[in-house]
Parts: sequence; C-alpha cells; structure tokens
Amino acid sequence: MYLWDSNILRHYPEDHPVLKAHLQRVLLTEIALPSVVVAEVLRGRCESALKAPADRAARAHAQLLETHRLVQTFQVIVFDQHCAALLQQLQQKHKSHKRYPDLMIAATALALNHIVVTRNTRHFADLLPANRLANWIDDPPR
Amino acid sequence: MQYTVLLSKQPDAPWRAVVPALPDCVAEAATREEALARIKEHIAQAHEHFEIVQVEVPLLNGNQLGQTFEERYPYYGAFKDDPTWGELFDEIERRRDETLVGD
Repeated sequence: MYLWDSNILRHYPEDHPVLKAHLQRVLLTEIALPSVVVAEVLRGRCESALKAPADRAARAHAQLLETHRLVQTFQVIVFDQHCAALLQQLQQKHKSHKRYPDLMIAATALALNHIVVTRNTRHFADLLPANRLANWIDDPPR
Repeated sequence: MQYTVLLSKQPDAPWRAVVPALPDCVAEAATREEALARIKEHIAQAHEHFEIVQVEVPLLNGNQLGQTFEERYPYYGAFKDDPTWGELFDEIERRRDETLVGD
C-alpha cells in the first residue's frame, strides 16, 4: 500500500503533472492515508470552520465538508496498538531532530510494510528502508 | 461439456486430434474416427484431474475497467481554485516543525 504524507495529498486536488503520471500507474485501492494525515487535514478545516468571521464562515464550513468527502474517497490506515509499540521503539532510537507526526507515519508504515510517499524523504530516510520511501512529486515514474 | 477439437492429417502421418483449450490433450490414430474416439477418452480422463475457473485481473492502464482518469480519481484537481487548500498544508508543515524535539 502507498501511504501518502500530507504533502502529497496537498497536490492531489490541486492537479500536478508528476503526481498524475504516478496515479496513471496505480489504482486508488493501492493508496491509503495514514490516520495522522486525516487528523491534520480535518483539524485545520475544523479550526477554520469554528474560528472564521461571519463573512467567511459559510465557505469555511462548506470546505470542511468537501474535505471530509475527499478524505472518504481514500482508504485510511489507522494508527493502532501495533503502531504505538513501533512508535515507542522509534522514539527510543531517534531522540532528536524528529517531528512527532513523521515518527507516527513511519510507525504506521512499518507496522504493515507500507511505502511512505512524501516530498520530505530526508525526514524519513533513517526511519524506513530506502525501498519503502517514494516521492511522487519530485521524482517522475521510471 | 463441449470442446473444440482440431483434427489434422498430413501425408504419411496419422490423424492427429488436439484440444486447443486443453494443451496436454493430444491423440493420434490411423483413422479420423479412431482419433476422435481417442481424444474423447483423453478429455474424459483429463476431467478427473483439472477444473476450469474464471479469474478476473484488473487492467493497469489509463482506462481501468472502462473508467476515465477523472472517474478513477474523483477529487483530482477539484480544489485547484481554492487558495485555502494550499494554506492548510503550509500550516500543517509549520505545526509539524513545532513538534521537533531534541534539537
């Protein structure tokens, strides 16, 4: 399964030629979002909907629901107890220079040997084997 | 069950019967009738050792199961006129950087 980081999901509804070339080679059923990314995206839209001033509130609420529908077109890999145990191992091994959501996504991928698709491959380089990392924005399909 | 049998006769060679759907089923005989009788026996024997199943394999091309790219990926390009979408992800990156520990 190709597990998308948020910086890949970003370009999906924006239209990106390299991402499109990769998508033409796979099926939507081979792609999943980690629940970490779902939480980040919906948190942002929820906060906008709850804080927007009157002139922007209607649009912010509509965007929250549209984003929710977009997320529902993907499979979601939930961060479970197995992921939590792997996260603890990663935290012990990498005590510095790591962002917490990156560690959570790496643990989600390690749990079932998924491939993390991200633009930030350097953040994951020492967390995952090289063949479990891909960049569908900066690296065109071979 | 019906099978298509290919019967052939070359000069100075026996009658030959093959079943295109069953590559291992071949029979040869001096006469056409005998070749047909033998191939029927072979097919009957083969029935004890095989089953025929239908499998479906998804096609990996741009026209998956008759669907266009837009049908396969329903939200692709759907928010390209929404500047708040990109801002949302700038904010996600900023918040991730805030979680950086041990620098």
